[in-house]
Amino acid sequence: MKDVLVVGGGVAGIQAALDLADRGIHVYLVEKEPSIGGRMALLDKTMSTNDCSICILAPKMNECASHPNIDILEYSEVESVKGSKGNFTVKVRRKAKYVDPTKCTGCGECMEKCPTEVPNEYNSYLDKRKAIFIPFPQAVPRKATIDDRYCLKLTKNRCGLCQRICKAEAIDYNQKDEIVELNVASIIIAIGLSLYNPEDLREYGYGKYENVHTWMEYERLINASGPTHGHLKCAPDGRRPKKIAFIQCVGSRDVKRCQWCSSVCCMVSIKSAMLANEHYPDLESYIFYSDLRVFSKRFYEYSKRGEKDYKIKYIHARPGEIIEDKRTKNLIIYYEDEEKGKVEELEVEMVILATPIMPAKDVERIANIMGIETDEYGFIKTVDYLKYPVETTKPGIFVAGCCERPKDITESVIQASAAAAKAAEVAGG
Amino acid sequence: MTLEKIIDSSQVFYCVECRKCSSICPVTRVYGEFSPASFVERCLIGFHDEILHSMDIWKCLECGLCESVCPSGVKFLDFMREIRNMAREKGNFGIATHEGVFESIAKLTTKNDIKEGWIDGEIDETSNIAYFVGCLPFFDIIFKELEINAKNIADSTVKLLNKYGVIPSIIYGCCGHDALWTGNKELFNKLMEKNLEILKKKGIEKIIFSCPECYRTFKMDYPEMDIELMHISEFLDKNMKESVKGENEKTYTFHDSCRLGRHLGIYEEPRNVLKKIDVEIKEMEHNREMALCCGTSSWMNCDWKSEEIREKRLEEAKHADVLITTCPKCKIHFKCTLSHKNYNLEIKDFVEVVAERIK
Amino acid sequence: MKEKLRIGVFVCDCGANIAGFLNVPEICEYAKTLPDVVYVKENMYTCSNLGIQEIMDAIKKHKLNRVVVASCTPRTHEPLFRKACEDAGLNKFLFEFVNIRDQCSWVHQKEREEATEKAKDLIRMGVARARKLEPLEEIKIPVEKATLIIGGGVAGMTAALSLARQGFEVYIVEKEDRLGGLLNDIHVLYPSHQSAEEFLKEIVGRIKKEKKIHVMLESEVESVEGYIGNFNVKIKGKENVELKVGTIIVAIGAKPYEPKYMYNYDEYENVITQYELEKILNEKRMGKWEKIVFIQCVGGRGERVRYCSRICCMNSIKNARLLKKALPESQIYIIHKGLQTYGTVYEKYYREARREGIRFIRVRDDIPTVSSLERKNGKLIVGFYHPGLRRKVEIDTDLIVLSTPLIQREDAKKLSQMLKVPLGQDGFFFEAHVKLRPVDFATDGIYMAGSCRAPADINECMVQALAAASRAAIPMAKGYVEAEPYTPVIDEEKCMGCGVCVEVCPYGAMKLVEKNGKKVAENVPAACKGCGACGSSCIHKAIDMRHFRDKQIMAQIEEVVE
Repeated sequence: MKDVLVVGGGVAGIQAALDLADRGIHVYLVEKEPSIGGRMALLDKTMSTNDCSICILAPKMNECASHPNIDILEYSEVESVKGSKGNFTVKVRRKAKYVDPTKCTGCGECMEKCPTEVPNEYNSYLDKRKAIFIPFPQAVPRKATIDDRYCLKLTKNRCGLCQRICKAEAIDYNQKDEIVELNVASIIIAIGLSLYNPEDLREYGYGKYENVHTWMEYERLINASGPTHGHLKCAPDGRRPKKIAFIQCVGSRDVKRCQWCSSVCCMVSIKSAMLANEHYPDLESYIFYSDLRVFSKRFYEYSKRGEKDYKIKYIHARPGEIIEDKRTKNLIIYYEDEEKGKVEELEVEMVILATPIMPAKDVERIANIMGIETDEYGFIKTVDYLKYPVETTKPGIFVAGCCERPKDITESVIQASAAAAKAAEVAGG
Repeated sequence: MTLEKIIDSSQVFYCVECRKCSSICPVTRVYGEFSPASFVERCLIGFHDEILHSMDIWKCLECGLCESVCPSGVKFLDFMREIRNMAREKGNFGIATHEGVFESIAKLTTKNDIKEGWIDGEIDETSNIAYFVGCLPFFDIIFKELEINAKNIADSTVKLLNKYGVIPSIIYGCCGHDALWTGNKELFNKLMEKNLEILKKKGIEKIIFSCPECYRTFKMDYPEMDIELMHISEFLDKNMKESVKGENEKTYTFHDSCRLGRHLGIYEEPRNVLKKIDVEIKEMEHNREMALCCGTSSWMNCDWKSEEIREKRLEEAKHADVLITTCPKCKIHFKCTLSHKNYNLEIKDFVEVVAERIK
Repeated sequence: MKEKLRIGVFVCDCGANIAGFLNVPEICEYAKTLPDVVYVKENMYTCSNLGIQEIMDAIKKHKLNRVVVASCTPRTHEPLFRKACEDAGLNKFLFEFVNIRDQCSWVHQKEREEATEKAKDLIRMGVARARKLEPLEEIKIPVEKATLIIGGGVAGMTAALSLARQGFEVYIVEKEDRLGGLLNDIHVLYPSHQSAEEFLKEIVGRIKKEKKIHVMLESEVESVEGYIGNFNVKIKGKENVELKVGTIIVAIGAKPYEPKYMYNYDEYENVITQYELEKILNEKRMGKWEKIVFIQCVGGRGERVRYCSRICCMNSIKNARLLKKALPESQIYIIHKGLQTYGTVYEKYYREARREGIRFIRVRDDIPTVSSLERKNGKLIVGFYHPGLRRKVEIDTDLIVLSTPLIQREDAKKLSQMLKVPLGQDGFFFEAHVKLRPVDFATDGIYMAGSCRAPADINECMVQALAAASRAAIPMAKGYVEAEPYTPVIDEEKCMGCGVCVEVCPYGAMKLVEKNGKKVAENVPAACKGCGACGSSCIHKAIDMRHFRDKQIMAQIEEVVE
């Protein structure tokens, strides 16, 4: 029985790794962030079940960490792949964290004292983190990492505070990247997604108006471990909103931008509206849609529940523009009301734009390294949509999750198990 | 053209009825029942006669806002234009303003030439670089009370061309824009043929325009020619190397005309030039691709509702003393409203402002 | 002779999560005063390598025979701490977890003193239970390396091929006289327009070649006994066999809803369903239709069933495109309530359909799609309210195609009872967890794939089948499963054989057996999940749950109720 490499430690990568490891196949789980968990670890609740996202994911993350058959290579990236199905030689760069993982206890003191604040990608850039950081509280492994783009000691040879105060003596500024060579029978790509920046849809004012957010920003705002501790706060005075609006298909189903449908955003907006109403029972939500995509198991019933119990109003219209009231910073949405036959104005305190899921940022690089093809949109291509739904264009390399095309957690998990079955066939398990 | 062919050529079949076009359309804002999406829907379902005999089709300003936000790739401008052509064939002509005088003038220019010598400045009739003047000569006559100063626009253009080393020949005549957009393909073709003949006879290799509508028509509605076309703002952006200092006691704002802006995609060149001559622009709320239309197009259907649309634009300019525009038609329309409504605003054409600063 | 209790208590700071809100040193001092506690340690992070090492060292050095960790939640680190005990030579069930974070420091962040007292109470209760804990064993139960797949459609066959390639024996039981299920009646598949017949032929060909796959046509499952790793299955029909398998995959598919009394389906002959259209296309019996109208959501989305059937939008578009190609002069309309053409592939397919001239009409979601349907001069007139134009629109047409949802088959009920697996409100099989265990049943060893779970297209059936194969392969590849140690202890004297525990058990882990002339309850450890439903419903108090014994729980209660 040979080993399998899983590239990407989001929910798809984790599921594939666990399926393989549980049946006795050894798995290398390579993840480019300092922690596994991917996007799902940063969501607040999952749709259709309204489960706390990290609560259902963390046990699986911990299972990966403690599984005898899984080696997590965090903060690492694949550099090269040679060979063919059954026998791949993979070089992985383990980036220097400048922290000794055997000593670090994840206590967090270094993060508190570090003087350098940098943009926090884990909170959708809504707040700042430190140059030495743990990405989120439930990180696995829960060890500090120094971002060498910003660390004063590493860039300018100043500061050095974290080393002085670390009681476990875990900081090592001299750490170097390490290249490890792995020999595996098959590879599963699960590198996830990136999100569209809707700044170029000037009609919606993203980036200009403070109270216009993307759905990922909203997830962090409504999350108790996010920058506002789960409270929705509106500019300019931090008051909580009474009316919020969700606009679907901002950048997706758009010939000039992302032509595809991002599959999950309709449900995500419904879920987000439900969460907002749970936090603030008098809050009303409006969802502006073209086609409400609620096709999976129990999704349609979920959308009806939102309407009935959570004060959600579905409006079939794509708003033309959003104008900000300069004084209150409220947003006025212009849309054509079908039933009235004229353009209506709706004033809300916060607008959330449903932006599409796009191919992962480094998909080009990974595709080149692996020698696999991407489709016309940049997602990883499968050999045949019907017959070979998890096989990439190179035998022995399989794909799972959103890097293949946008899908929700359930479908990512299913595809991950499917890819595991295929990878196991090759690995001889 | 049958309606089915129009649907195919303007790709209207892609419409998913999201209604974003109607939400942003300036005409829908004032006329509830007018809705770009509604035209498309009715066309797709098969209510062809209803559309072709409707007076509403003449309300469209062809400003292009709908097309610029449409996510499905519907070419609504082409659609409207072809529909109007078909409507005309069925006897639906729309109501032209100013007693249809401009259509008459256009008809006249198919046969007659305008007397030369209207413009002051260095001119060379043998030059193969031309300045297309368009309808400018008529504006001062027809809109005398509004003080459009069309001659100044033409003179300033030539002056600026001269300054940067171009002695142009002048081409008068109507480009055919209004004929095309009011569905009068016959008249448009006559005008186009005449213009193309002039270009060929004079051996023109480059044309400069001061009117965005003429520019658009030559560039996008005439067949492809081996002639370089540019607006005076593009010419200046390319050729003006020096900066000029000036006083800024007045507040300036800039109005992107629909044709130069959304139709042709030229937003930065005029702004660059104004920056070079030290004119500071305080942008209006809706600028560049989102710019609001001046409210009337192709001399069609100008009424109090058009004025409502126009006033939305003028309200946005309230912070400014001077509104600069690149389109003489926009200037006419704004000045028309200013003649009976109280706004503390001066309307100036772009070339006028530049020529003033560069003495 | 009872050994002397030597309890070790480890109190975790959890960084600032606990130490920031409770007085941990005070708690440690208090723990030292509890009877039988011989060792107390404060850790910064008990779950760190350092903390684990300390537990192991302390067990060995101080000969601890009970370990209590007061920290976060068992959901994250119970396995970790239990393993630490095990590695140090202590039975892992002699470990007690006290939650002083989620249930104390996190929820009483502004009440330091009271919260500290509460933490002390919680630890005292934990120590009380620890005293009564007993060592338990996890039995390894061998797993038969064979799978039973119920249903020989695309899903069933795909799962079979994958499992066979992984080296397991596979038995496919199919009710009909041929493999392929619903696909046998389909004309072409979207998005490639490949012939369904060819697709089937290829996959059936591969099945026939696999020696490890045994197909039983015209046969049904008669009964299933046993538990994961050891299912005894009786097949009846053309084949009459008894099988022993380790896992079962349910892939019985679904069937199209028949729109009785809807849209004059029963009366007019040119009102047909999508599946009838597929047959017509297959048999090349197309009429010279000039106008065709597809009506979506007939019976779905609240009309007769409450769900959206997912595949009908794409199916209609596929057939519309085929018809338009065959009859280029025809006008084809699809009346829908919101097109489900999601993703990259389907959205593109939809745009192609629009380009080819298919017209789409959207109607309101909360009213029936079509408001009137009459017959006039041989043509059908379909009337509906168009929300965009705010008026009633009528289209005359030669053919109406009704898109009906897929619904669960009738034999699903019998199967669900036989396997003791649940059906959801929508009639489809109910999975263990919607997000994280979507193809597993809650009962171990049984999995599902395909439309019996929810309406699915070919791509989804394939992926689900492979996923089910992957899940089924886990216990079979390992060769054994570990039985749950939290099984009930049955006092056969007190047991009256009433059978209530058998009824309430969701996993089929209790059964009644004859012992010494009396009927008593017996537990099947391999199927048991230790949920305690049996224990809490036994009115004769004959059932005591291991690791949650009455005496253990009472000990905790007595500590706080004076």
